[in-house]
Amino acid sequence: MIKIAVCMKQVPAYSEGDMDEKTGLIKRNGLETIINPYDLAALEAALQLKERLDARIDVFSMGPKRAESLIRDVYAYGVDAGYLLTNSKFGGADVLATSYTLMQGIQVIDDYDLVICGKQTTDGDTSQVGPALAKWLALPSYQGVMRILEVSDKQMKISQDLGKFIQFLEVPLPCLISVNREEFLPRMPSFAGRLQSKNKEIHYLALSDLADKDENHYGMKGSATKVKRIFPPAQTQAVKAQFLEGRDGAQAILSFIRKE
Amino acid sequence: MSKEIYPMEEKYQEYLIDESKNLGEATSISFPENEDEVQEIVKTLLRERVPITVQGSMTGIVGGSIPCGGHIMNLQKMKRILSFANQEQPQVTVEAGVSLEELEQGIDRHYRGERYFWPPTPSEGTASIGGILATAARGMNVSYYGDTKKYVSEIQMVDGMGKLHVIGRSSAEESDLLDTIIGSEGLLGIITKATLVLRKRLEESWGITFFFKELDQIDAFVKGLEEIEETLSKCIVATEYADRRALDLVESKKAFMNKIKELPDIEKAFNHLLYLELGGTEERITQTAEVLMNLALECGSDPDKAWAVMGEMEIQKMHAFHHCVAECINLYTEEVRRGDNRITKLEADIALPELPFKECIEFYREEAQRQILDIAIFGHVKGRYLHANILPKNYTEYESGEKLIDFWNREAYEKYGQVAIEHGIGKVKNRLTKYIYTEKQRAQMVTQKQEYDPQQLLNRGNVFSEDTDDKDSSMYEAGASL
Repeated sequence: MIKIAVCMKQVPAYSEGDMDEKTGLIKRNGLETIINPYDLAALEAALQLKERLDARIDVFSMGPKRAESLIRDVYAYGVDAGYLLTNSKFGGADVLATSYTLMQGIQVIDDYDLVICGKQTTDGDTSQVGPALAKWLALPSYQGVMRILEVSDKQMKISQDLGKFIQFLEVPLPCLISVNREEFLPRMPSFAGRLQSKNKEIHYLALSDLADKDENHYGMKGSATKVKRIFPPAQTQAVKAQFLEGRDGAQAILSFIRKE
Repeated sequence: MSKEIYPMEEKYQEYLIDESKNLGEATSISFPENEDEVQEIVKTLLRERVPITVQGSMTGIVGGSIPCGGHIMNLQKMKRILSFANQEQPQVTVEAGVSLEELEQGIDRHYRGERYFWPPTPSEGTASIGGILATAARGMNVSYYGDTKKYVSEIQMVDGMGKLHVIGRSSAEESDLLDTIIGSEGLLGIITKATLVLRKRLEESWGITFFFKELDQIDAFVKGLEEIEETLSKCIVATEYADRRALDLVESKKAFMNKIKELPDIEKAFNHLLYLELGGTEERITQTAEVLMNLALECGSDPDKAWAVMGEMEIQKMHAFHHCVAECINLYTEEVRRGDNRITKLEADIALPELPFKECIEFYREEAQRQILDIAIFGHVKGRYLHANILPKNYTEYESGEKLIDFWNREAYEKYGQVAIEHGIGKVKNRLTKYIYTEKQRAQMVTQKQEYDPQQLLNRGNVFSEDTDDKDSSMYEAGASL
């Protein structure tokens, strides 16, 4: 059986969060939350693998206690076990501390053959947690995965989007992959799965459950970076529309294109 | 002319056509920015006896905002959310041009985290509040939350003489008047402001989509739903239907629709979709869901294939999907119109509440099949507000489709009595007014029109035909017996 860990995060539904000036953190209280859409693609990749071979899928998420709703949600998709890493000491973590915490949680539970991450989150947008986690887990990592073409308990064949070209690789397991969202459109959670999810246990992992119990390695204390400022992009001024017809209009457009 | 009144020019062409795809004509247009300007413009036009067609966002599908000559008054610049009040129930006062989306955003910003909303939720988010009230538009949750009128505590309205009325609910008569104005399709006045009553969202929401292969299966499921224990049925906020043709249209256009492009395709074997929205406590929802799962199994619907989403954001995706059904039908019409611009939207939205579900579907399908016309059916299962949209491929089919609409309305009237419709009458259906309102009701409407718009300037052609030879549908004849 292939053991798959999927890392998922709850994010604000809208990009309207203000920043706390003192801490540099997004104020998340009162904001509606969703599962990071990129992580749903990661889950979809895992579920597709489970349909092809004997596999177990465990989901790991780091967040406040209310993020247990994410675990409840993913059970409806057919996840086998869900782990919520939750503790006040984990709050305010940057990429370094987040990836370290996830690594600690994953290692407490099992040795996984495959770790799957989404490309990025809609709130952090760094795309760095996956590769950082791979480093902590001492696993090779591959970003921009478009397809899992073949898989066995020892290796996979994947296609990888490298921007200007697509690369096909044969990679050994265990490894970590970050998947592209477009190629792994998430399925809908099933009704039967949703009902069954009510009876499934949510597993909580606190600092005391982890091998490294030094709180200075987690959360804000364990972060190497601090957000200085979050702000929306400047609104461009309204531009007056011009109405031009026929030749005049065509000439104006041509002049504009040539200037660009 | 007042400085706020502009002569019609080519740049205002877009204001001559709405979602019904009918083309109108007008000689002038205005975009008042406040109530005072509305009054001034009405008084100016009254002096010249120029008829006025009032427009909001022009999202109506029965031609209510199509001008039939005269002046267009477009309220899209009246977009202020004026105030919030926290009495027994929170309320918000808005100008008529505020859209539903803008209202929701304003409520969310003001009541951050407290989850208030305005219950009437027509699926078209860009619809203006003024338009929603003029047509008493409702959304899929109407069977749970009740009529739109229930959520309006006061309006301000400029009548056909330019006089401002403030109408609330301080007495039974005033309340009746307010309820009459809401849904009167702009015949009595121009709604400029409205105070809307808000409610808190339900604690939890689930959206479950069941798929069925056969009509008999979904019919049995609907029957089972209607027999469900009353305490459980109170958890059901909405019940929506879409047939295979409607689903095919959505899937053909899904790739271009951001809100739903990532939803999975629906298996071709499934011919019927039923969406149920549950709301309430987690315990009540789970109880109801377990009953629904057993019912689905009994009726041949696989609960493993059924979709189940929870939370407001995911529910909104389901709403977007159902709204896309209507949008895709409009897109289809638009595409066919490019070949022949005489073709407009053809939809019957007759309520047949006394009929079993299967008979409602067959009511539409039988004659459509006889006429060899392609139709798509979707709508609200409770109250049987199912909309049959005719999908003509050419003008010949369009002409047959117009006759089919008349046939359906006539059949419903003759078999089941007075016809109730959901989307209003507007101009598109004003020939059917005789089936929808009794002679007495039409006469009452004429009396009220005489009081508030004696020169009959406002929204001519809505509800009552301009054709004075059409004795049953014309306003000019309706009051003759008084």
